[in-house]
Order: sequence, then structure tokens, then C-alpha cells
Amino acid sequence: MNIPQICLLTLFCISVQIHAHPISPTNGMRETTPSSTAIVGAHIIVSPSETIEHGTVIVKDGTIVQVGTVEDVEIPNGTTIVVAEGLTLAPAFIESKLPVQVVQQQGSDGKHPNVRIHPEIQATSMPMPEGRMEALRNSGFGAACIVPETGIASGTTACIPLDESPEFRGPYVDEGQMTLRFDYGGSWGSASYPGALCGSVALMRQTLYDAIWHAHNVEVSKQGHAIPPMPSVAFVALKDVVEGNQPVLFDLNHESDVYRARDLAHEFGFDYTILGCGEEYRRTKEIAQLGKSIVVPVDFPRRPDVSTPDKIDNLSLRTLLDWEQAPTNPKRLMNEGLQVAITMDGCNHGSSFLRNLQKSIDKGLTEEEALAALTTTPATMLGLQEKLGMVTEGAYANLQLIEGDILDPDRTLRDLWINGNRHRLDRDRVPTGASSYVLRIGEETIEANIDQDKERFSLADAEEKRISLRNTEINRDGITATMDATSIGEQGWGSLILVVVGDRLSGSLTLANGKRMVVHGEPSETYHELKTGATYTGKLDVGSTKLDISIAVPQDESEVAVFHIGSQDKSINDYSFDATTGMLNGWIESRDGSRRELSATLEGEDIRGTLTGGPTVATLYLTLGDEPPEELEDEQFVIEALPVPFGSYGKLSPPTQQDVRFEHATLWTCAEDGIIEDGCLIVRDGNIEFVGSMADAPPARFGENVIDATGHHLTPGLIDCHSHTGLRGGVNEWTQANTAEVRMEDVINPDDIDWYRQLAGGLTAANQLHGSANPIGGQNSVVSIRWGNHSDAMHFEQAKSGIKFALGENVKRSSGRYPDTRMGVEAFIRDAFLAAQDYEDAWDEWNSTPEYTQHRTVMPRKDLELDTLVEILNGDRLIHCHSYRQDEILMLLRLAEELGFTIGTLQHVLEGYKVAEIIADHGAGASCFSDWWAYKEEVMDAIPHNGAIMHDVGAVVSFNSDSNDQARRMNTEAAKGVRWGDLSPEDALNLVTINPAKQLHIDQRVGSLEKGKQADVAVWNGDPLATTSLCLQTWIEGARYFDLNEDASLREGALDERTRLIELALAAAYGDLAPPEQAAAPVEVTEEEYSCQHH
Amino acid sequence: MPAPLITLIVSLCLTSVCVAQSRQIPAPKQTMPIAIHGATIHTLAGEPIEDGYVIISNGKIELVGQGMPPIADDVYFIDAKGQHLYPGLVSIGTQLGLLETGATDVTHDHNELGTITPEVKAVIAVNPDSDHLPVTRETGILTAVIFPSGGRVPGRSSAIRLDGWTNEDLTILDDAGLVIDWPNNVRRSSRGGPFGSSESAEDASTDELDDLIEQAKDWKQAYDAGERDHDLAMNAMQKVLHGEVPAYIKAQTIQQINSAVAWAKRHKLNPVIIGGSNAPECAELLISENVPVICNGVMSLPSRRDLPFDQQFTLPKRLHDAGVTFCIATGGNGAHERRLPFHAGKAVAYGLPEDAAVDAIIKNAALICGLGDSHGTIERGKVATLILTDGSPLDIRTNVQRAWIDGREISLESRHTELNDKYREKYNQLGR
Repeated sequence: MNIPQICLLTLFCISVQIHAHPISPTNGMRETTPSSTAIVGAHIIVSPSETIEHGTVIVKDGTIVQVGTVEDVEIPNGTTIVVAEGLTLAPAFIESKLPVQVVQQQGSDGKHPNVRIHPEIQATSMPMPEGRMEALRNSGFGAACIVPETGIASGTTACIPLDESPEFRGPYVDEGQMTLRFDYGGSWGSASYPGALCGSVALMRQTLYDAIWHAHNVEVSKQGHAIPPMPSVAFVALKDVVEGNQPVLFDLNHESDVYRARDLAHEFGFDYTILGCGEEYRRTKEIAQLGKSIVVPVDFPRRPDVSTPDKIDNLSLRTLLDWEQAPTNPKRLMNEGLQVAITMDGCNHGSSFLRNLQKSIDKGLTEEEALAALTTTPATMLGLQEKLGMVTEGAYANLQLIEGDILDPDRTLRDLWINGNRHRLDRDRVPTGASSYVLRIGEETIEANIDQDKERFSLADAEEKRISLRNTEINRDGITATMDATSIGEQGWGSLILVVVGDRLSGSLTLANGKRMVVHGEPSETYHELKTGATYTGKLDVGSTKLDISIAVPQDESEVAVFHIGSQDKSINDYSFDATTGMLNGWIESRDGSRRELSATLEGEDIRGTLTGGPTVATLYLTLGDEPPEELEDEQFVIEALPVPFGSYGKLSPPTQQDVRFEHATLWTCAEDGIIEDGCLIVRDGNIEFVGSMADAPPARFGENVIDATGHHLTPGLIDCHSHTGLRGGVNEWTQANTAEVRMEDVINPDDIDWYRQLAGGLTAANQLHGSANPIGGQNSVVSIRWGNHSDAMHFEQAKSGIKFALGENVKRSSGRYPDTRMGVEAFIRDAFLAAQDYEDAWDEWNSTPEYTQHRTVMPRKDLELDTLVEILNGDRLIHCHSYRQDEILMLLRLAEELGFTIGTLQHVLEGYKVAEIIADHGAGASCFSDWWAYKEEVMDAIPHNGAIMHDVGAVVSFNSDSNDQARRMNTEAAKGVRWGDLSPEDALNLVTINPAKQLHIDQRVGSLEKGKQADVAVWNGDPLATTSLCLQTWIEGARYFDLNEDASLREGALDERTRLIELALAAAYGDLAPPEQAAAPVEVTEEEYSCQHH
Repeated sequence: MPAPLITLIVSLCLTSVCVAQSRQIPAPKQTMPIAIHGATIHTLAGEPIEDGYVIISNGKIELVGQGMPPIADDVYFIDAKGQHLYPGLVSIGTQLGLLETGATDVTHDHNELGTITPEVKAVIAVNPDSDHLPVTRETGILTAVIFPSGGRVPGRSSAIRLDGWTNEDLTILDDAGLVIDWPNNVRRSSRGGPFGSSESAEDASTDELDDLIEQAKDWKQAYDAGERDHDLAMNAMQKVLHGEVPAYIKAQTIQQINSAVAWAKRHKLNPVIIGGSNAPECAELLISENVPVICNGVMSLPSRRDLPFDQQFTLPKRLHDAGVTFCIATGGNGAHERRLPFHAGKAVAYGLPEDAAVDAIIKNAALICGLGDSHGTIERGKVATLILTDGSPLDIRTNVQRAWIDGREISLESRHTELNDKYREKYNQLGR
């Protein structure tokens, strides 16, 4: 967080007065709490990078007043002492995202009409989710940033201590950031706007513009120049944001939302940080470029289900890679230099949180970084770096006292201090002392075991047979249980009580018949059994290499212990083994005659130890038997660069421009030159430098990349004038009849695999259209299919802005919504344009107001919907209108003529052939299907000759796909113009090249092979109109985005990766491969499946 | 006006609007022999015959040869020099004639209520005047096997010829086999992120299909012994039960195909797999059990992101290479069935040999749906259901010049050509 942000956060210090004198009157006796506590003897983690081995911390009135070594810190009289020997004291964690449900009060005084806009909400006044505070405390968290949940502008965050006691509840930061979220669809009822992501962006923009407008008019009214505008708590709450005085917290659902956040921040000039979704690893580098602090979750994907062949077949490489790579997310973002905090949000409880965090640590995150992401980093992001996240003098006493390693999922959290208030979370429930005793009951001797970790008690008889126990109760003082008395030669069940006294156990057993037996217990000595006469086999690690070794244990004292190394047998001199300690000692003579000391310990069947005396200390590890133990070290996980898009067919870097010369090709220029046989196409700096016959071609330059394209056909890259590929979060903002404010360019998904499949069919550009659910739809986006890039790079800059309109059955279908007839559609569209005219007049008046008087003039409201329509009226935006029947086509053309603009394209235009002359005379483009019909009533008159007739009558016609499938084969769609309508091959190919380019106003750059145009080229192995031809290469601006040969290696790579990950998933699910005779069926089937993928 | 009357009028109006009545006139019975000569005869029973001839008589192929056919007085000669003669294409698995307008429910006759309805039979409701039939003929499809659809067992299929006055005229096989939609145990989860994947309940049980078979057997025994009443559904099962007609089983995945084949063989049925996206992975089983595949997903998108972009385009090639008997279908519902040869053409672009692609929409298609004895090749004795083209039927640009069904030369006009003619005339009048 930068400096200005810190300044505006209200720091709210917990005051000692509040602590000492609660405001509410005391009922009954006062409670006293210690004002000063010393925690003594702990291993103190001061900060992620600093520790004190054996230290003391003194806490007074909620604050840390002294930190140091036990020797250095003097404990004042009257201080309560907490002994923490052997424990670790660390700063309590900080939760960076604790969502709180927004509960709105009834009434609508000044509230925004859209239920998703409630920026006036303060997180501090919302109820805390039940149990969440406790869950966080149990996981070691002492403070949290509370974030109002749900909604697009959902309110202001705060930072609070995680302590419900009223006297500790004052927030650390009570006014934090404004939470914005790209929320849409679902939970707000089926008809609620926005229903799509594009609508969410539009509503957010409109609301922020409204806040500017409202603030202006409030100011005007304050000065007495006008009556006050309608009261709005929402717009007032957003004033600080639009004036740059309150930073924004973007709570994001998807890694690509980051760019939407960036664009909004840029448009409105505010600063922001990010609550990430956890998938940022897919595009780390680009996110890093934004340089914003980010909070990431660790609720990583679960292991993919690999239980049946079909389930395995269902798993995409991307899903598998997500499983593998999600844990690398925090580290990748840190590697890029970002400030990264980690949240427990998404994990139910502390152990699952730490277990998931451990996955990140296994994959490269250091413990120090993990700790920082839970302490110092979030503290800094909240502007509380002096107060939270460290065990340092002056900081709030937010501490955790732990048994075990701080990040170990199996750690025990003993105490959590929040503002010095001690929460005792885990006390010993088990008697301390020995873990195993020899019990004497009467004449019998049995063994008792107390498992400290699992808090379990067990008994075994002399033959080590377990004795049945019932109703076992275990506490700090001892044990009660009902035991099987037959095991000691008595009858029935007996009631046992044992207490720990000093290092002994003492108690009694009462039998059913009333007989009471005294029980005495002494700690038993552990006994290590080294198998005599056996061999232990393993490795000797001498640093640079590992050597095979074994130790032969003597049968008895008459024999000599032998150390086998390489091919040599050496006797172990002064060999000794202590069965109580498990220590094995001796020495062997090295090759040069010097002495090597062997010092090892027996643990179960393993021997671990060292061999010293040589140049380096060699470590050894052996296990019982002739086989060496499995390798101890895990393979170190290496964080490697990931392809973009993430998963199959992505690339580590996008293709680059090449200067290239295609020779001896058949060139379909889609321009005046028609088809050139034996042609030459020269590409330089992304543009076409020469196109013509080989005979006219300039000589090849030295070192020029020459491609012999004999037998191949080159066409312009194909263009699809109606696509819904690569749009995120819905293509239809269907919830309103007019959604001119939504923009497809806000929701471009560059990672859609269909882009790659379409490149493989020679497609290089597409017109991404809004759906057809409403008469006035959203703004379209024209893209260049630059696979492997950012969505910014896909944007086709030269394309003229446009918008989708729709007529006929689809727009009438929304029941209960006007319009419901084709008559109403006309009236609705006409009315919208008249509104736009009135709107433009209002703004013209405002703009003609002298600047010096504007501050006292009421400003018209900026309306994104009407802005768009004004652009259409002024000829700055094209309408692409979904239309079917001739009457509605005619209606729209006439309406446009009346209002003084020209329709860009009629989309589908299935009955266009009936009014072709009117379309041609109007100057509208016609973009139709090749041969679809019969799927609804209004297409019963659709015919495949439609395009050809309109072309023949003089309209500019294109064939489009409106389909992820057909967009892969637009060349053969064009061929249908030859079959049904007798178009010439050139005219037919124009339907998917220069004609759509003209319709989208990108023909100055693409659509034909002409000198000076962008080198968007598709290379075919034969006539591009032949059904049996295929695309070999696809180039965009001189860079090769698809190549059939490269594809072969990409698909092989994808298969290898997938195989590797499925093997991992299978191993994770069923353990490593079982011995052959036990091989689990799924493994076999899967292996068969892998090989079959190679077809 | 009383309400019921209004309803009646409204429904009559709707019906008259929605149900198209094609204006193409069915061809009359062949009365005199025809000799088509000069063409390349693609018999699909051997090498193509350059400059060959075919003599058709009484709806059947009488003679096939090379050069000029023997001269006879009462033979109508057709000079087809430079053209190509093929058997008519065979389309399998659509709802052609059962479904006229996609979004208009009253024109739908393909999906009966209930999940197991073997008693219904496609040809009963095929509208001989459907506009879809002439449209489908445009690319040379002259024979079709119509499937009811919807539910676990949608009903029985019928093989029809695409020209006739009544649906009885259309019928080749009224019961061409039982359609079964095999249960799937894995539903693809939505494209959610890794944190939001959900899988819907499994419905892999084949119990109801086992029950159906067993009940049908039991019923037959009891019925023959006079112990049971009539049962349409059980009676409808008998042909498929005795292997007289195939069980067309829609199955895509490895588990579906494996279990469908095992189930069918266990009950001694005659299975045909339809769909078969993963059939190449099951080639060994399909070959050893002699189970053919109707591959209907050439133009489908690959089912997984990481699969090769041409995964479906190469499906026929992979089946061919593996040695599985297969044919190609579109997987569509009928309106766009004329694209069938283009599916085969796409498969050729991605590696299927051209002759195998032609076989896959003619010869093998006829063979797999039980019409192998009468259809699918140009051989003496087979029906004269033929197309004359100016090129490979696989190419989109090829035109079908003339066509015969059982020796009757049929119209190649359709609603589409008529509307084309009508509006060409408009612009002719306007001088544009």
C-alpha cells in the first residue's frame, strides 16, 4: 500500500481506558484481568526473518511492552508469568479477507434502485458470520480485514481484532477500502440486471459516473443555485472513490477480472488492491505488471477424480494442471515482486488451511514468505505495520503460542492473545510424564501406555496382547477406565482408576464382586531391538555421491560386526549397541588407515547416523533387510514458466513477426488481381510488401526466409462477421430490452480454446457480438485472433465501433416484457433513438454553458446507454442487426434512413433475398448463414441461395458462423455460395475475406492480399473451396499463429503432460503402483487409454 | 364464439401454417428401361468403370458394363458423358419427416412421452410432404433411416426412400431396428474453474434395459402359451430380441461402448454403435464382436480442451485405420441432412481415403442398417436408386444433376429452389 492510502485510513488505537473501565455498568462483582503478563522461555518469532531462541515477552494493557532474551528481560513484580518453555511464540496471523454478509435494512431512502449497489454499507456494522471468528482464532488469527460480501459496490471494509469481548471490539481500521466486485446473474432472482459479466462492468461504470454527477449537483444546490438532487446514500458513499480519496478493493472471481479492474481504475482515477481468486498463476506476468498488492486464497483444487476410464477421459489437461499449479500461485506472484498476502478464506478450518499452505511450501514458497504473507504483509497492506504482524515493542499484543512448528498442520495452538486478552485454546489433557509404565496389579504385571499426542490410553498383558478397555477417561491427573479383568486372572470387568504422582502411577482396580486391588506403576524403559545376525542395507551420503553400504549384525559376542561398503568388508572395531538408548557405536579403518567413527541410532527397523573423521561428515541411513530404503529426499518441485493460455496449445511467448517469402503459390488475392497462379507473396514487418506472379517478383534478399509453397494456395486470413467465441460471463445481457451500455470488449476471453481451433481453420479475425435477446443489445468487439496474447492485443484497433440489435422471435420471447410484437419492436427502437436525441440536446446545452458557470449549473446525467445511441445517430457506430423476415429488415432500414444513418450489417438476414435491392440501395452489409433453415418459424423461408442473390443484386455479402464449430471451416462455408447460387470461386471466397472486412471497416488493413495490408494469410494444401482441403498455416501480421507441424508437437506435448499428471493423480489416489500381481484395475485401463490417444 | 371453437380454429390455423406441404410431385413408376451411358460408374463393388453404362428395368439394375450399352428399341437412353454415377446416399439417425420446425412444438413427432417406448415406430408419422425431404435429396441422399429420439428407448427406426405419395410408398423397412440411448456415468461438468467443478449424479444403471429384455422374453413365452394379454411394447421388442434387426445404441465413451457391446452380446442382440467418439479406443472389441459404428460426430467440437483440434475430423480415419466397420452420419435432426456428404469430405481432408469416405455414406451405410442386399452398390439385381453428378459427391461444389429412386427419376426441386426461382424473377423484373 502506498503512502497516501495509509494516510486516509483511520487508525484507531485500542485505548487503555476502555480496557480498564467498561462503559456498561457492572452487574455483580467486578472481574479482574491481569494487566501485565510475561510469557517466558518461548522460542520467539519476532518477524518472519528474526527470531529469539529463548525469550521473554511482556504484555501490558493490550500492548507488547518488552521483547528480549530471557536473560535480558527483567520481569517486574506483580507480573503474571506464563511459562512457555519448548513452545513457540509468534505474531498472530492476520486474515486479509473475512467476508461479512450484507444485511440491508428495510426502506429505500436514497438507496440505489439496483440491489447490488450498496456502497453505503460499513463492514463494521454488519453481523459477523457465525463461528467464523472462533474458527479463525483456533487457527491462530488475531485480526481480520472484514469485507462486505456480494454486490457490485458492496461497501467499506474495516480491520478488526478477532475478539468478541465487547471491550476488545474496537476496530483497528474502521474505514478501509470500497469493495467493488464484478457480480452478475444468479442469486438476485432471474430477471435482475446484470445477468452477464459485461452488464456488471457497465453497471459499475454507470454508477461511478452517477456518483460524479450527483456530487456535482449536490454542490450546485449547496451553493443555492438549484434544488438539491434526489438524495442518494449510494452516490454519496462513492464520492470519495470517484474523487480519488478512497482506494478500492476489487474482490475478483477470475484472473482476467484483473484487467477489468485496471481499466475501471484508469477510467475513474482511483487506486486499488486486489482480492485474488487463486488462479492468478495462469497469467502471472501480466498481473505483475499492474504492480498491485494482492490477497490470494489457498483453497486449492482437490485431486481430480480418476476412478474410472470415463472420468479420466473427462479430465482436461487444464484441470489437471490447475490441480498441480494452483499451490504455486502465491510464490509466482511474489517472484514477480508483488506484495502478496494469504487468506484462509475458502478453507473451513485451520488444519485444512495449513495443509493447503503446506502444498505451496512444498512447491517453492519458503516458510519465511508464507509467514510474511500472514503477518507483516497484510499488516503493511492495512497500514498497520507498526501495530500488527510482529512481536515487537509497541505493537498490539496479538500473539500465538504454539507447540510444534508454526506452519505445521499438526501443530497445537496453546494460547492466542488478542490485544493482550488470553484465549486458552488447547490445554494439556493428558498427564505429563512417561509414556509407558509397568503396572503391578496383585501378582500380575501389565504394561500401560499413554499416547500424549493422540490422548489415548492402552493396556497390554505380558504377552503384549491388548487388554480390552471401555469408558476410558483421560485427564491431566490420570485415567479412569473399565478393564477386562480376565486378563489378570480375575472375573468380568473391573473399574480402574490411576493418578499420576511424581513419576509413578498409583491407583486401584475394583472388581464386580467388590474386591479392590491396588495398582502401582513405574515408568518402563524403552528397549531397542537390533536383530542379531541380520543385515541392514542402505546408503552412505558423502556429499558429492551416495555409496551402497550395509551392516551385518553379529549373532553373538563371538562374532564381529561387519561394515560393507562398495565391494569391501570392514570389521567394526569397538562395536557396541545399547538397547536402552538404541545407540550403535564403533569405528572402522579407512583406506588410508585413518579412523572413521561410526555413531548411529536404531529407530524401529531403521538405522540413522554419521561417519566422522574424514574430510566431510558422511550421513548414513539403513533399513533392515537386503534392499536399500527408498530415497528420502522428495524431488524438489521447480516453478517453471507456464504457457499462455494456461494448458494445452499455449506458448511461453506469443509468436513474433517474421519476414517471409512464399514462392510458387496460388494466390487468392480477393482483390483486383483475382487468382494468381505461380505467385509470390513477400511479407515484411508484418505487412505485405509484394504480391504478384513469380515472374514479377523482386529477387530474394540475402538471408530471406523463403517458403516453397508449390501446390499450396494462399488466401487472406478468413474473417467471421458473427461470432460468440471467447466471451466471458455470458454473451447476452438479456435482462433489459435495451443494453446499449454493455461492451463485449470488456469480456474478451483470449484463452478460449476455440480460438485455436478456428486458427487451425484459417480464421484470423472475428466480430464478437452480443446475443439477440433484446432489440438493442450490447456493443460488439472486433478481434484479431492472436492466440497466446493478452485480450488487449486481440482488440482490432482500426475496426469501427458497433452494436448488436435484434428483431423478430428472439426479442419477443421474453414474456411480460415490451416489445412482444414486431410492431412493438419498431416502436421501442424508435423511442430509444428519440430519447437519444433529447439527451444529446441536453448535453449540447451543458457543453455550451461557459466553463466558469458550470460549477453552478445543474449537470445532465451521463447515461452510457444513450451515449451509445447518440454515436449511432451521428454515424460513429455501426448497427449489426440480427434480422430474419423481410418486413423487419425493411422496417429497420427505413427507420435508419428516417433518422439519418446507415445500418452497418444485417445479421442472418435470412429473407434478405426478398428485399435485396433495398438492402443494396441502403448500403447495408448482409452477413448471413450459408444454409441454415427450419429451426424456427421465421426461418422457414431461408434458402441457401440467399447470399448469392443479395450479392448478385449488389449488396456486400458475407457468410458468418455464429458457431464455434463452423468458424473452423469458413472456407467450405464459402464454397456453398458456388453450389447454391453459382458464384464464381473468387466471389465465393470474398464472402469470408474482403466482404466481412468491408462490413467491419477493417478492409484498409485486412481481407485481401494487397501490398501494404497487414499480412494475415492462410496457407492451404489445395483449393481452399475444396471440401477435402485443409489449412496448413495461419499468419497474423506476419507472425505464424498456427502451423500444422507445430501443432503435431503441441498435441504430443499436451498428451505427455496429461499422462504425467494422470499418473500423479492415480498415485495420489491409490498410492504408488502396487506390485504386478496386485495392480489395480484403473491403472491398467488408463495405460491402455494413453496409448490409444496416439491415434 | 364459444371458447372450444376458437381453440379449434386457432389450432387449425397453426397447423396449416406450420406443417409445410412440399409441392414436388412424386415420380411415377418406371415404365420403360433406361440406359445411362458415358458416365464413370462408381459401382462401389469394384473399381469405377470409365465410360460405363447401367441399364435399369422395373426399378432394378439389370446390367452394368463398359462402353455403349446394347441397343434396344424400348430403352430410354441417357447420355451422361463426363458425369459420375453413384448409388444414392444413405442417411442414418435423423428425425427427417418427424420434425418440421425446430422451435414450433406442434410440428414435432419424434419424441413420445415416456422413457421406454419401443411400441412407437418412426414411419407411422413421417410426413411424406415434408419440405425437408426434397431439400435433403439435393445432395444425393435418397434413402434414410429415421430414428425416434428422446428417452432411454425412444422407439423403432424405419428405413425410407425419399420420394412417394404416402408414407407407405416411402417405406422400405418399417421396423429397421430399436434405438437405445445408452446411460452415461460421467456428465461433463460446466466450464467452471478448478474451485467450482461439480459433477451431477451418475445414472449408469442398465437395470431397466436388462429388465426390458427379460420381460420381453418372458412375455413372449407366456403369450404364446396363452397366458398373457397383448402387450404392444413387448411385442415390438421381438425382432430386435432375435437379432433380426439391429439395436442402434447411442454410445460415445469408452465405458459406454464397452458396456453396450457386452450388454447386447449377453442378450444375443445385433448391436450397432451410434456416436462412437471413443470407438477407435475400443477397436479390438468392436472388431472381434463384429460391431459396426455409425460415426456421427465429424463436425463436433473436441470434447476436451487438450484434445487435438481435429480430434473429430480424424475420427473416421482412425476407425478406418483400426479396421472397424463404420459409416458416417451427421448427428443432426434432419433439416440440414443435406450436409451429410460434406461431413465425409471433411474426414477426407483429415486423412480418410476418398473411396472409404464414399463407402461410408453409401455402401457401408446401407450395409449397417440392413439394406446391404438391395442398396449401396451398383450391381445387377439391386434397386436402381442412383445419382448422376458432375463431380465427387463429397465436394460441396458438386451438383447432383439427376437422380432415380427405384428407377423413377425424381425431382431435384425443393422449397429452396422454388423460392430462389421466385425471387430471381423479382430481380429479373426489376432489371437488377
